Amino acid sequence: MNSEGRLLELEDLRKWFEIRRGFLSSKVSYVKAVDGVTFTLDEGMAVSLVGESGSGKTTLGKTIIRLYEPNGGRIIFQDRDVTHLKANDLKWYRRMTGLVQQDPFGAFASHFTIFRSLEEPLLIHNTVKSKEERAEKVFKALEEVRLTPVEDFAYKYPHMLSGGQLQRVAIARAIILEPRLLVADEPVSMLDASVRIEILTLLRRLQERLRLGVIYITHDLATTRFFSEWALIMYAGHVMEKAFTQEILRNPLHPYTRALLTATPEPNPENRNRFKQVPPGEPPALIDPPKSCRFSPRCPRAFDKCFKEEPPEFEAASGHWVKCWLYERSEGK
Amino acid sequence: MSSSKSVLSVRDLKLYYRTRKGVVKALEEISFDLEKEDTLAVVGESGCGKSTLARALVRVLPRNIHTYEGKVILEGRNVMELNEEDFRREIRWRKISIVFQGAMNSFNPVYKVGYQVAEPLIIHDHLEKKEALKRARQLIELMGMPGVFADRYPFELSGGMKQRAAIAMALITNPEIVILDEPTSALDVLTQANIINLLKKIKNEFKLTYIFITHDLGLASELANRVAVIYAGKMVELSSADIFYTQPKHPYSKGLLASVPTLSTDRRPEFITGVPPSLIDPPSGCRFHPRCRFAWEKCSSEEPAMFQVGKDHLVRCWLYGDGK
Repeated sequence: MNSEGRLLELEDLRKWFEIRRGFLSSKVSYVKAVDGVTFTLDEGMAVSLVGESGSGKTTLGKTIIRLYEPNGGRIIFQDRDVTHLKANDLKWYRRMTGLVQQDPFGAFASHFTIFRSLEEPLLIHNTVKSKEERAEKVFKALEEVRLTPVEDFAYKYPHMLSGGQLQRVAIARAIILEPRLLVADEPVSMLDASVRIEILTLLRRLQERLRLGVIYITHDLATTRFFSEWALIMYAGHVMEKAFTQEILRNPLHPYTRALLTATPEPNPENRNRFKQVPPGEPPALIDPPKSCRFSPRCPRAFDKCFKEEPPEFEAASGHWVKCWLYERSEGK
Repeated sequence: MSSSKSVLSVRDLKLYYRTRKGVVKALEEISFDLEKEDTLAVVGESGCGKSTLARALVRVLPRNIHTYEGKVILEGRNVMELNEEDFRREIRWRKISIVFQGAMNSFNPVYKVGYQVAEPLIIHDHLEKKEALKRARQLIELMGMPGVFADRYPFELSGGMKQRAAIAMALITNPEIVILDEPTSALDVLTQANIINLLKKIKNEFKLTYIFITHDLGLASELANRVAVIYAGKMVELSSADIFYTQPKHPYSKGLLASVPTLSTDRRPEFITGVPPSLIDPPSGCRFHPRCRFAWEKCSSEEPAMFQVGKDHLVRCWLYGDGK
């Protein structure tokens, strides 16, 4: 990727949460939720962060838009270091980024009309002065997410809308300040299957039309395919594999990615006659994760080295990175 | 369709709720037969009534019931005629048990897991606590958990482990039919796959009959040999899984299947436009007609029956009615 049109760069990004064990104890340990993530995203591109609960994907998303302050590494946004921005600079960054969260039913103040909820960011950031202009922006955002006729929806209260409609409003609110980067954190996992595709198709259309960078956080590998160019597979705070989405789905390299692919259910009546080969066990606690490869205790292909040393990211094929000792030799050194 | 081999026959099950806004017609005209060791997947969108069906079969219902009628024939006996006490004593957990949605979050935090798994034995079989706990521990081990987990409290177990314990709780009284209401919906993909493997294994070992309630058609195919599709409180298609996944007939079933993204094919997922109707005032005629691409006048004026379109294949759609 060239630096022209580059939107976001993450360099060895870390977010550790401090916890104190015991009352009055000064002993501090850390939950290493995101531990060394490096990635670049171009304008108008979408990347999927795929992982199970506790993999750090939500923490990474929130750190990228600076809802959390990183403990290490750097975030470069449009060639500007935003890692430790404060006050007014941070407010600028808030305008440049948007967030859509999982639960559309909990995303709105129940006593605000949709209009009022969408007006809120405009009031806080004071980007448009007149009431008329604000109304125009609100209606335009509703149109953008296809909640038409807009007058019908603008004066409704959240409880009058369905989950899918509310998620559209959440997207409208996230883009109303015309951000360049949108983080969508499991935006469809609470919705029905057919509504999911509707919302994802809408997000995709906005991404292309507005040249938005999109970070799509999901546990569902199957939806990444048509809705993102890039995919990062996360496990226990580490990025295990990153490549073009199509490449990862066609040629998964990391044993964890392969397990995820196998475990993802597909509609096929023959499934009932066979058992799935999936690794047993559960992800490690992030307070004291394995010092070596974090997947090694569950990995079907682990060997001595995997239990001793943490693997770096190997470029197993052009643009296809994998954090696994199995691919050590394949790196063209 | 009905045969003597059926372990469960449901006929015209109807359930209405009373609410301040009016009567919610949650389930209507639900009929199906289950043979031993069948797994019937009941699929549909949220609010379609599939969880209500699960609750209606074990009679765990809220208080605002308006109508609850129809026949539920279990081993030749209509259990709808039983009073609450007899149903509790003879049917619930004895013949039909259920793994509730989010069961893993419904454990009592102050009792050990083993005791909670054993509780149905103490209540139903009047077993000594010690003996019941021993049985619970054996079953917990059979679920692929270390036996010592019986002595732990729910908060000490992960989600997957608690779900295994919830399954053990449903099996401890040796029921014939187990209802699985979204048994893996809050679990991670790998944990889900492990639980599904477990459900397959114990089905074979205990010769169980499952009713598997889910919104995930991919997941449904992991267990089901038969599929029932529910839309807005009514069954719209009932067939074998082999037919359903390859040749679905109802436009709604086709739409649902087309909306599932797959990894193995290049097919782009599509969506069904519109939203499900209110069950207080459902549309006239076919309840799906406002969203249906194939609808014509008849669909909005007259309600279709379940038409037989093949062996063991029923569809509630005018496209297949009247000799079409």
